[in-house]
Amino acid sequence: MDLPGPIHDILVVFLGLVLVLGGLGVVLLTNPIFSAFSLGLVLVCISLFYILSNSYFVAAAQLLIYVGAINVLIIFAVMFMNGSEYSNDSYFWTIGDGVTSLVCTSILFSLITIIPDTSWYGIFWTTRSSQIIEQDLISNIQQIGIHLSTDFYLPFELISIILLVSLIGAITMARQ
Amino acid sequence: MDPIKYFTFSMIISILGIRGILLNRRNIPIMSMPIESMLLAVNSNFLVFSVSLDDMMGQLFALLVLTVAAAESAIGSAIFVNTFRVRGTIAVESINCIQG
Repeated sequence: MDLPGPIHDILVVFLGLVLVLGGLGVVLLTNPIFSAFSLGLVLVCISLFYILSNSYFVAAAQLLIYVGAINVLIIFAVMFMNGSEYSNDSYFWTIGDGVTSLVCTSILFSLITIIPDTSWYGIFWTTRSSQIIEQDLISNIQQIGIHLSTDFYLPFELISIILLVSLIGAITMARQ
Repeated sequence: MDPIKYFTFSMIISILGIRGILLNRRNIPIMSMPIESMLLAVNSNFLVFSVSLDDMMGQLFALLVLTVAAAESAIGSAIFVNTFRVRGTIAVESINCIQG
């Protein structure tokens, strides 16, 4: 979006903080329904990120598909199996849990030190995409449509086959 | 500086997802949520590069990943519901039928 610099930065940092809080809520909250709703918050925050980055179609598709379908499915599965047992006796960490936390924290810190030190602008300038269409006169959605019907035609058909197979599978399992 | 901020957030979400899967000791439908958050972090990375490189392929690939995530989540929920109906329990330790 064409926002002035400081407003853009403030929005990015604010959305990022809400995103990190939601992500922590997904893994750390004990009630599974709270985790499912904070996953919904994470998905909405990422959608707002996409809107800030001029990717309007992917933001709308994410809101419809991720929040509207996947999150609702997860909440349905959680509420369907809620109340049977929580296994609340497993609050104590084992040695395996400690090793896993150590590995995750080390990955996080190594990524934190690697990412700002990499020269991303050197990588950006060496890749050039072949642009067959003038990108200034065509809107975002038209570009996606053009690429879907010319370059990405085979993945488009394969995705529809995947969706058909998953639909048939889900209905077959639900019939029993 | 701008792509780095987006990378940081998607990296944090991805690592939280890994941690959520590995340290899940309670029940199974909770396990699908960190998987979705890892797919979300990958999507966000694709879009950050697509915006920085001014290329449309990243957004298209993010759409395809979105669709695959939807299909996988539907099948996963169907399997979880059926497992609960058959076994009567949702503890993670009870899924050991394939064990030799």
